[in-house]
Amino acid sequence: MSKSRGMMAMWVVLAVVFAALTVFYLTVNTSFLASATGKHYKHAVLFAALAVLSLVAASFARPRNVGA
Amino acid sequence: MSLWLVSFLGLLQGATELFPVSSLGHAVVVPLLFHLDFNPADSTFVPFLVLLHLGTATALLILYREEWVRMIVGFVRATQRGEICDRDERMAVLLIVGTIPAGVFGVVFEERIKSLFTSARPASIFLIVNAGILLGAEALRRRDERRRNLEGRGRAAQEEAFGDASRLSIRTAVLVGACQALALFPGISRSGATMAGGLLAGLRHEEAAHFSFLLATPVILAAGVLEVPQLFGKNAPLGTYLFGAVLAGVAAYFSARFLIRYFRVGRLDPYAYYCAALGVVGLLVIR
Repeated sequence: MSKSRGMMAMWVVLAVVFAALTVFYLTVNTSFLASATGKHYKHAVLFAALAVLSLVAASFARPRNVGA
Repeated sequence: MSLWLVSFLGLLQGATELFPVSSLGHAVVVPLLFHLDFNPADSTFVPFLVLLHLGTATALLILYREEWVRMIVGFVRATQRGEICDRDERMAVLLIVGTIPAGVFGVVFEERIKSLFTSARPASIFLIVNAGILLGAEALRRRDERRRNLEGRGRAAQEEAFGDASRLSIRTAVLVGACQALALFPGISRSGATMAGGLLAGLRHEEAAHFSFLLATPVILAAGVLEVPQLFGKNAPLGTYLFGAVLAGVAAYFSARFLIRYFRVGRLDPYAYYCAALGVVGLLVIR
């Protein structure tokens, strides 16, 4: 994976978006990306996992100071 | 459901989950073919399926326990370091990125697809499609073997010319993992689709099966764990169902061991012919 501050920032932004979607599916009755209207806990779990994984990806993308 | 029926369905699910023949397709077609006396629409049937999945996932975790421990430790280590350095760390990352597409497709589309295809006719048709996927993957593999001048050599020598899963790129792992999403259609096999994807990616048959089983574990486990609340409050006979889950686990354990040994030199063709035959019988017999 390429390491740069820009790439790291992109993953962090993605993590924030996924975290927001987690809260959305936990709190709002919706049929967005779902088969019926209601709260969708499976969707929330999925987006929470994706948020965590995005943060992990951000950690991999973080440039390291070599020989500092 | 009687104990006999629970045992039969447990063994059927455990075995067909890992053989490239579609457990969901079998769950739809076989009971109708044999006129088994149960109602899939019964409110206690979902808890039963949940327990069967947990049994199968547990068997896979036991079978590959040392590898899972190494990969989890490796993943934590790689995350702290911010770099992938060894095979276990790489395998952990490949499995995670390979699991994401199936997870997303499963959560977003599972209910819609299930509601469209729960009858035997589409399941029979998809079993035939599954046969086509397996035969297509083998046809492409044979073409690849001809290109590499491996024709006429022993199967073991042919297999040695292909790679192992840890050499997959991230992108390829995502694509192979995405094949799992096809298993949402009853009749398309999860392990068959990922094995076909693995073969197209240049893996040995044994490695494609190995990667397929590792990929399946988190998905099957998550499918079971997320439905655990369904186990309670429906007056389901949990003791009897638990027995079915244990049988599913035992069947899955021995199926996985058999398949890994089989695919050292074996191919997908026999399973393709079986799926095609079951699909045709399903279409002809079930009204």
